[in-house]
Amino acid sequence: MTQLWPIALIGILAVAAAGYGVYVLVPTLLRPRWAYLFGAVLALELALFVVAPFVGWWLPRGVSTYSGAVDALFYGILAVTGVTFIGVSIVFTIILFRFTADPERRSVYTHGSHKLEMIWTAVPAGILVILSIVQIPAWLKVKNTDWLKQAITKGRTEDDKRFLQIEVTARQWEWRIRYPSTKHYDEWKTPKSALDDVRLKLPPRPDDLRFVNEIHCAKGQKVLIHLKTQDVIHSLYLPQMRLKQDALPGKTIPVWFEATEANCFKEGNEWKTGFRYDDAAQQWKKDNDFQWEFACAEFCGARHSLMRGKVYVHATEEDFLDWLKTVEQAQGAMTEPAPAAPSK
Amino acid sequence: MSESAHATGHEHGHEELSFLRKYIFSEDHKIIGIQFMFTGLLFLLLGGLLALGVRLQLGWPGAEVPILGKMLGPGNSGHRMGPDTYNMLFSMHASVMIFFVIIPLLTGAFGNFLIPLMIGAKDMAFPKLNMLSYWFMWPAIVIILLSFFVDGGAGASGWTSYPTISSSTMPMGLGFRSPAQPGSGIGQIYWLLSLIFVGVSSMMGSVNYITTIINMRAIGMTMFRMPMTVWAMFITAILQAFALPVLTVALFLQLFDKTIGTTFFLPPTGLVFGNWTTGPGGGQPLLWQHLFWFYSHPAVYIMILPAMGMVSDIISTNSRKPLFGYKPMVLAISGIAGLGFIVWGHHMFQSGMDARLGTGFMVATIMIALPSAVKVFNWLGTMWEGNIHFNTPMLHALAFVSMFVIGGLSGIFMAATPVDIFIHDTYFIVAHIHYVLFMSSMFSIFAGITFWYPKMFGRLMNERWGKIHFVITFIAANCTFYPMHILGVGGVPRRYFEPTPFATWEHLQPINTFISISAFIMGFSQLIFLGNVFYSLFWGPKADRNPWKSNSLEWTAPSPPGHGNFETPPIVFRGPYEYAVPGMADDYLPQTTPQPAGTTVPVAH
Repeated sequence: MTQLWPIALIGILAVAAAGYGVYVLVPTLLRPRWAYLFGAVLALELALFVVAPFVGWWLPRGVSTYSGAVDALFYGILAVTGVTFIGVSIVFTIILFRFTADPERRSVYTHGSHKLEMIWTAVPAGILVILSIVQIPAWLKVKNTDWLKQAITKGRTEDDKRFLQIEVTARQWEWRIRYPSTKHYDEWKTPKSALDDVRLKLPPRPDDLRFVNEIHCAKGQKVLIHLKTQDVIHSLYLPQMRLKQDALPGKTIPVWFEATEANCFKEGNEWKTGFRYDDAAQQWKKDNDFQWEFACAEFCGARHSLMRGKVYVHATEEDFLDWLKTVEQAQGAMTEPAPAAPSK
Repeated sequence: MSESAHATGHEHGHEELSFLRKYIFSEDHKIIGIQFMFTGLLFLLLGGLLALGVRLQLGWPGAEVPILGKMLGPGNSGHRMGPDTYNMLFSMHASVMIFFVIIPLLTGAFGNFLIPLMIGAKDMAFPKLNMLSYWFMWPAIVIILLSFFVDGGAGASGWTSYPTISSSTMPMGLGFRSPAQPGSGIGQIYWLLSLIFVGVSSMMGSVNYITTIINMRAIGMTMFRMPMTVWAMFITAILQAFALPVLTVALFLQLFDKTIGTTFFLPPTGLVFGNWTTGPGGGQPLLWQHLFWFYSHPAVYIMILPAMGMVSDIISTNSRKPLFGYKPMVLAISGIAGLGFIVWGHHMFQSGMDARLGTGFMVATIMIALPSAVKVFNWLGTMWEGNIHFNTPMLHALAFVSMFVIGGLSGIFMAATPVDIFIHDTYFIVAHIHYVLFMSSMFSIFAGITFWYPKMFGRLMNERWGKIHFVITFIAANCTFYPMHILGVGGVPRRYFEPTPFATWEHLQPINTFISISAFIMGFSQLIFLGNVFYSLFWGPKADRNPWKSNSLEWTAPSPPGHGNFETPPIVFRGPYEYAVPGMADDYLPQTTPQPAGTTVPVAH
């Protein structure tokens, strides 16, 4: 410790010198126009939002059927707030420039203007009402499950793909995921069977397949998740799908998504994720934007930030069933008869 | 001392009280306000240090903690911070800042100090209750400080303390440990107890403010001649009086769940923690969120309305121009308070609450942007064609306005339910709340302290160091909180111990480091402010009664005002914003000055 004191002394002197420099410099530099400071800070803040998308600091790739609607609303609000921000910042900075105290000039004596108050109440009110109305369709799109009714009556969704029901159970600190067996999945061709499973929130069966921290589905396949938790509140968060839903103890909450792009393929016996199918080259290419993870978004304790999983979106339903069969064989081989125990 | 003898003491303004009665167990609203101020400033240091701990981990994940590293207990590896410590840090940072810094400073310090002075009263309506309201903070302070040293550490469930992570407790006989996390044991019980005391303290303050403002105004001080600060304190006190009981109830329910085995927040299915099961309960975790936010949403207005009031007064004074749209401003504050009671559900859009209910809360939340916008436009209107004096209080007030604009606009993103799906519980929220609330209210607190400091202590604060503090804080605060918007747009969740292991967010780590550096600069620059506060107590230039040439009543009293405040009871002739009145030599016209001959001051308001 003894060799530290010269450094400490130099440090203290340096801080003192810097402090004195600041003490002298700051007022001289800034005395004439405080508007510079405010204007510069506001301008830089605007600039950051302009630059951010170009350096990759932006929304993750949206890959669900409703991510477009959510993003469109985001951009709409960004435009409205951006214009407001620019307008207010310019007026603010101009005020600071123009109306700095001047002994020659007297302030204008006014207590306000009824007309102005009317304008700046009515105009934002109109914009805000419009904003609140235009967002309702997107909210419905995410929360509404009309497609589910159709699926139940026909056993199939409108685009003739079977939908998938899985159960996701959160616990400290992992996601346990229960898939139907291939046999069970086939049964959903019969509307009644699918309906029963939706109503009864996918009751456990002995031949269910259990998996941890991996969500598998097929591109274009609607996935209905029965979301549960066994201990504290967690939140299932799939950033690329624009999906987030808290899991509440004691409740089973239905959420759904449908992926519009695939990100995995089979190489040998292994499914690899984080790849994009390049149509021109006719092959899968590594792409970080296709590395889709899911996370916990509601604070749940020590390993909250490590409660993550991977999303595998298979290119076709056959691929997905292929994966399901592999799991079936693996888990069937492990325990006889069909396992009911969690995989961990 | 009997009640009547005491009252007599008041009337004659005698100064014969012992030191203890005068400065410690004081019933004088000014001393109580100053007590709240120093307590709040001390806790600001603690809350700031906790935040720097959080930023240390986020900026340089897994780095060794300098200096304090060896104090880290079990659960941490060497001098490196463990996740439980991190969780305790962010939880206690928010709890301390909200309940021990912002609320005591805004309502406790400024409310107490300013209300009687600004309405021309000798003191609060209930001086004893006022003293109690300060001293009820002390059990809270002691408990919250002790909680850092109990088994398992201080509460670590966030300032929101959502069950079931906060409420789960081992069965009787196994101590009060929590199966969910170490900090949810005794630390959480202390947290609940502490907040109950804070609540009682705030409630006593509120009752006092409401009564004082309604009953004790000076002759001629009509409601619509009150300064905006008093209006804001009045509305805030009403908000607090109506919302606090709900929080207190929620705190007690959770306390019962944790100590005497009730199950208000435990669902019928029970919970499974590893090998241990709670058994069935009879409650519902979502209940807490409704009760909590029913208070805590109004609470964010409790933390911003007084700020708005003070800033309105400071801007008008330092622009030498009447406040633009006084009545619309009062209406806007009332509108914010009214709407503030029906927007709590916007914290719960993704909580599992019915989606249709979400739509209702969304509309109310979007509309609350309206009165906020009206306030901003009126501040701009006040400065327009004024004579702006860029003194330290005014600079802080201007910072408040610019911060509030950004925070207000970012709020619209979260109010929109579909966008909220994505940005809920991400850094966008952290950015938003620190802009609209904490940086705004902190700047208003700096503005308020520097503006009313001469009235409190009879001395002005050092102007040059005040400006240096302002410049560093303003730049560093923007550098700290603005990039958090970008993290939020990227989708980075908040309350994460390790920000990096996700492929989606790895590339955002440089932003985190930048934020942390700025946060450290901001944190340490507050020492300048504290130094200035203490230095100026003894060596600041002496201030006369009215150093800012302001109109409101407190500036007609001596600096500092004696016991009983005014030498003669003030008589009020007009509102507090008569600056630059045409036909007058002075550019201000105090509320107590009779109508000068040959001028046309509107007496109406």
